Amino acid sequence: MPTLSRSTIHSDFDSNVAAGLELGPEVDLWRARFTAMACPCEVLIDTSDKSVASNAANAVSMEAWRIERKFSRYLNDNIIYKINTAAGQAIKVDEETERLLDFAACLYQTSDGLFDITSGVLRKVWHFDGSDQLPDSASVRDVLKLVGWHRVQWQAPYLRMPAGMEIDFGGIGKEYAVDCAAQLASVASAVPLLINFGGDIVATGPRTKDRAWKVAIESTAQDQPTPMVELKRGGVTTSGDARRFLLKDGVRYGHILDPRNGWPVRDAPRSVTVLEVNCTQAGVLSTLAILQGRGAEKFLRKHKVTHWVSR
Amino acid sequence: MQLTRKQRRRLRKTLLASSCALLGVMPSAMADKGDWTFDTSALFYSEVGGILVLEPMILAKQDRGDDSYLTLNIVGDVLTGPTPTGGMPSSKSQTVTGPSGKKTTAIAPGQTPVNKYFKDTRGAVKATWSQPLGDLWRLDWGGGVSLEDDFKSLAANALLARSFNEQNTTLSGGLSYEYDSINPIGGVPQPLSVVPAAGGTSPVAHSRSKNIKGVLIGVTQVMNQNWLVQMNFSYGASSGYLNNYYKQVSVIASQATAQTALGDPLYQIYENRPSTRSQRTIYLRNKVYLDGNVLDISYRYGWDTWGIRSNTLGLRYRWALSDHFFLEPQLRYYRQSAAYFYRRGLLNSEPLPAFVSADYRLDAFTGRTIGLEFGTHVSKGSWWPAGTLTLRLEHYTQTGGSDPQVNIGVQQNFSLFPGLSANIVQVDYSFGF
Amino acid sequence: MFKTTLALVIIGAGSLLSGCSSLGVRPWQRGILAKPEMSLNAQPLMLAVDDHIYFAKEGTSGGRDFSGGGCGCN
Repeated sequence: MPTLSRSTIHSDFDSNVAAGLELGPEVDLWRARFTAMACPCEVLIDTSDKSVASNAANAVSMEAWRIERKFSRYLNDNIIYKINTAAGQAIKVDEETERLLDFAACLYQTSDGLFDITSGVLRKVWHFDGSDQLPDSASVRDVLKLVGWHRVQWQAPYLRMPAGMEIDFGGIGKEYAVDCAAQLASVASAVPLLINFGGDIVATGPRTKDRAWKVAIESTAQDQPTPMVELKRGGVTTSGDARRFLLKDGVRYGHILDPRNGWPVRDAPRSVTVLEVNCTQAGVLSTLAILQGRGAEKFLRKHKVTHWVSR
Repeated sequence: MQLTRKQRRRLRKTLLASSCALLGVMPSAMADKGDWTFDTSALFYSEVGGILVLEPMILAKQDRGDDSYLTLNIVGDVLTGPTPTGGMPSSKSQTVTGPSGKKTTAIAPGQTPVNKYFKDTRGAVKATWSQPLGDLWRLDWGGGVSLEDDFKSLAANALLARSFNEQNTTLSGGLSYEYDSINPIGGVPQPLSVVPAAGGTSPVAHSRSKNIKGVLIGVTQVMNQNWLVQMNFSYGASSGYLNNYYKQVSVIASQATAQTALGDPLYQIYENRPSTRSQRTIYLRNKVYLDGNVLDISYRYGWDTWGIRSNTLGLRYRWALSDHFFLEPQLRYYRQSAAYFYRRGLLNSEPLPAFVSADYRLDAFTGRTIGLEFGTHVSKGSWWPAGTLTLRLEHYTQTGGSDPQVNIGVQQNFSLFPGLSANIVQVDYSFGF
Repeated sequence: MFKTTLALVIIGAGSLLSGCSSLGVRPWQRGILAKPEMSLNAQPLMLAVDDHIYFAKEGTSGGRDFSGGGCGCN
């Protein structure tokens, strides 16, 4: 159970400091900060009652850490590790992993293979360090043999995967954690919250007096105004390839890889922000939009997604 | 894995269903939950001492993908009850004979003549297709048929819209055409001829027709995140048989005689209206979102070549009591001037005018509507889909009108503009699958 | 996986960026305008019934759209 750390702004807080969670008051709400899934996380709790805020923040951070622990691909004692090191053996998964795998299967189908949780092994040949070091086609082709959800036998609750293949929930895990945390916190109390795990956001309901939460998206392009998203309930996510890329012969290779050919998606927008009913849904749509490359805007318009694209 | 076109189109819905399954929650309502959405309504319209109308309606909209929609509108209505003939009250009993010449209505002294056996049924179907043309243009076109016992109507229209300025401004322009054929029971009476006392007109034709050509030019403008403005200009040119063959005009005694008191009707003639009319309106509407509630204010100015000028003010306030329930008070004020050929009645001493009608709708009057609407979301039940249930109650009145030229003798004792008081109940359920 | 998230700044307190100088909104500001009750054609059958009643009872009709007409009641 994490306890509250002393705020740097106010001195009248609990001083029983523990790892991770920091809670402090804003103008008319409470803000809690912690780190999970390798990114800064925060919770805004629209209440003046500190114990309510503390309970909600605890519920959110516990859930974030739980999901990180269970699905991180960097740990060697969780279900992901078990699946990725099964070497062709069938693995029986628990109910939550089953739901995530079902969801991943659905994503793979509905996106015609664009969204593929087995594509992480492509990282072995692509290193997006800003250099001009492109991998050669042969090595991409080789590693591509280990990519493709269609090679996976998924018959719930059993998963069998050829040796060398890997899955990871990196593309949906953080958004899933946001939604799960929001659900848990909502069950605990009816206080409206805004949860932000490194840019994946959900609002559980409008603030008092039906006010919206105001979320500013940091724009990558200097000449563009900062878009403001007004959110009462639902999720906002931003996907992009702004920071990691390779540059060769004047061509910018963004880190968004098409799992069907193993190469970066051409002409992908710098970032796509999507508003949806939940964070998972928003994350999937912003990622799918990026994967459309030049067709991102068309895709978003066609499916009537509330969006903002930066190029 | 290949997906069908339909599955591809429904990507967002499919993802929503599966993300909700992942999170173990019910998918929340999305604007387009299925291919078809329906809006069904029933209207009960009842005038005090007048007609009763029952009108069921269905509006079905199909998402045809690629942002194209097909809309079908089916309406039926049944109308029964006494209808004013346009005649004036008398100090003696009068008899109104229906157009078929068979059924008669006895009118007590001082009462406004009505045709008690007025009855009509109507069925109408309308289809509209709406599709984008590229990113900025949209075309809506459609047509409809309406059939009544004595009336047939065919209509077609097309509206082209273009958006500007990141879709904050939309300009639209459209044309419409309507062809109506009127087939009175008992034939078309000779305009201005005397209505025979015992019925049995001598018709001059079996049917007549008219057509209406319309133009609509509109602008919608997003003012800010909470405010939307709509402005329209409309023009409609009607030509052909614009009379209402039911409507009559009383010719009253301008001098008392041994048999007749001053002001008593001597006989009735069939009305006659000009065979052309052009109408223009300017319409302005604001929709403003105020902290969860919606204010809808509209104003219309109308003027036509018959001399009718009108001002209409509409006010609605959608008051959201919770996420699932709203109340909407509605107010409307309407005021018009009279058509130049409107006469409550004619004097027997004056020459017969070329055009005359005593139809109260062409008189000067004020119409007022007060209404209240209740709406609530309904969850899916054992045999009904989830949707929105709306109930609306309205009260509509018309007051005004007078014609000093015929307000003589016995007529001074009677109400020359009988007025109208109607109660309206509408129940609506809109849902999708 | 395929995704980096950009840094986001959350403005929790109600510091509304007060109205911009020109008319209109950016695409991401359409949340309220996209609500069904803000549609100009919200509750189409309610609007149609009004248009129809007033078409039958008053001297001026239409103006809002091409509806109305198709009725021998006038």
